Amino acid sequence: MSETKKFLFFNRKAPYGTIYAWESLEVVLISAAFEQDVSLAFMDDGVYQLVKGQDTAGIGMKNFSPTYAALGDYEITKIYVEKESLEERGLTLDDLQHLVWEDEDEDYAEKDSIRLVSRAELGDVMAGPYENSNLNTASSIMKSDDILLLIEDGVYGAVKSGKASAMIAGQKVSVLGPDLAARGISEDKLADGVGVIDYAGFVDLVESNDKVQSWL
Amino acid sequence: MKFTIQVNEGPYQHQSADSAYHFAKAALDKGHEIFRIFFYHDGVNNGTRLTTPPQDDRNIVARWTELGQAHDIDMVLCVAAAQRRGLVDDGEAERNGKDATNIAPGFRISGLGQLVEGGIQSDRLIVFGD
Repeated sequence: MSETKKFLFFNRKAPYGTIYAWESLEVVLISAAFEQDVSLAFMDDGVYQLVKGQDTAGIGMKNFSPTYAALGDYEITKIYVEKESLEERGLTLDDLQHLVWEDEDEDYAEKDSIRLVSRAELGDVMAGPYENSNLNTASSIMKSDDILLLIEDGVYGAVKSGKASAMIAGQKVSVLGPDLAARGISEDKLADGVGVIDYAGFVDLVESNDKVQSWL
Repeated sequence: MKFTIQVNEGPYQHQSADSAYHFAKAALDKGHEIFRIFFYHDGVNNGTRLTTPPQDDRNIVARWTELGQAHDIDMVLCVAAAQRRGLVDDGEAERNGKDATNIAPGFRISGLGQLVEGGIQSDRLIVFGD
């Protein structure tokens, strides 16, 4: 398979409390083995994955944090860490593992893999629309052309009188009608400008936008 | 257009198995192709034939089987995730010395490479889960 695509893996969950971080890392390693253009982004609780000094002996679980240090050997050299997420959690780069890769074009000079980026910069890295379960970060990372589709419990975020709707003000937002109806929310309860689509409309949205980012 | 769908959550526990199913159906109704449905994390539990929901509830597993067989969709349970959670087919039972299998018709167990390949081969990769 000679075709190369860009894979950006978004990590928004802390390690150990759930298995998402570890199993996601397994996907990352396989993607790299397929020689794809792989990069990683860490934001929200995902930044906790990179904290150094993890010791899992007391909980009897595998400490998978050393795997991050091996990413450079898999030619994964772009690891974006969101500045705001670190700051909100009282962390700095010094609290994270020092991840490096060797640049064979420069006599195997060690270079930093981690790039500290602002939320706005991370939006530039992604460029695409996002479904979400966390309205705040999803909405604030969106670009002007992006469309936010709220599905499942995410539809609660579009209710006009709710506090969450302030987070999506000014964004192009659609909600999935069947999810709305299931939760007993009538369309007149939605914030102004929010569109309602069905599953067919969902499919059309995916077709008409060349990047789809689930906000997991 | 060619889609690959990833399902990350277990059936009944989380709506994503339903959302993914309805999305897949809508896509097929519109004439799109589903190249592959890849079940990951607890999503592998969508592929156990031993599920027995109450009679007045939807049968999520049987529904996948019907959809997959009607449209010849490749439905793959991640092997690493399946092993952790006790999803077993004949090959896995033999390799790992298990005394039973529980995989539902229409599903197969394979590696994460199938997900990556789905991403490469398809126009869109859509992920359902939390």
